[in-house]
Amino acid sequence: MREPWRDFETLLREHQSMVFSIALRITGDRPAAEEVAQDVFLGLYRHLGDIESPEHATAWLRKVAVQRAIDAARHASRLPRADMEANDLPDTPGNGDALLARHLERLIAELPEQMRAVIVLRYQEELMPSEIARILAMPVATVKSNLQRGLQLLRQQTERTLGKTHGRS
Amino acid sequence: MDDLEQSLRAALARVPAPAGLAERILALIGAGPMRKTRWWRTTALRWALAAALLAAMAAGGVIAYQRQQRARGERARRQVMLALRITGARLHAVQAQIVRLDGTRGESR
Repeated sequence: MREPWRDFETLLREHQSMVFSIALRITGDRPAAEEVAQDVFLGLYRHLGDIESPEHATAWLRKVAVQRAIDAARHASRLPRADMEANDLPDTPGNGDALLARHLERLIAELPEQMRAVIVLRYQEELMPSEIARILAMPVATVKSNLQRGLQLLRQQTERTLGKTHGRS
Repeated sequence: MDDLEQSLRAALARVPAPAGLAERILALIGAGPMRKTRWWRTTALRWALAAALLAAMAAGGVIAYQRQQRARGERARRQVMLALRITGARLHAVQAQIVRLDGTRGESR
């Protein structure tokens, strides 16, 4: 008998927000993110037989979502940027500094794709550098340097725009 | 952890997937909710297959019957032709005998 967690609809409903959010933060474009999410889940449906556990399903979805989103972002970066406005990014959460959050989203969308993926996996998915390294198939040292450089760039840009109130505490 | 990292966590909180995304994906693969409403397709397909099978069997029966009838007709035709040939040959023999008898009578007179 098939394990309940292997039911495609259950996996889809459980992980659609994660996949869509990863795709949205990396592509910065809602229609593109939706297309990526659709593509990722169709891939999962085809490979359902290879999935060994719920953890494997989550890891598989994260990895494929990041790869497809990076591809989509690279493809979009070769197109005119008229349709790549940060308006496509989601509304910021109600709690916390909404202005800063919106500003950060805009800055993240301007980072190189690989660095953007590292930041998204670290701060959206709360993954450790070793887990990010596995997903992005890169050495842990590269992940760490991407994180450091990304944070540095974001900090500089934030301080330049909003002043030093959001610097290191 | 510094303020920036905390702000990043807040800014990068997961967002809900667009309404209807799951349904669109399920529709694409023909699973989920569609599976529940698709029973009629399966039933209709079964009926169509059964009807096609019956039609094929009926057509096969008709063709076999027609072949059998043709073969029977052909056999009857051949038998009639043979009977006519035999009758013709007998008539020919009788006629020849009559001619011969007429000849011998004429000579005896």
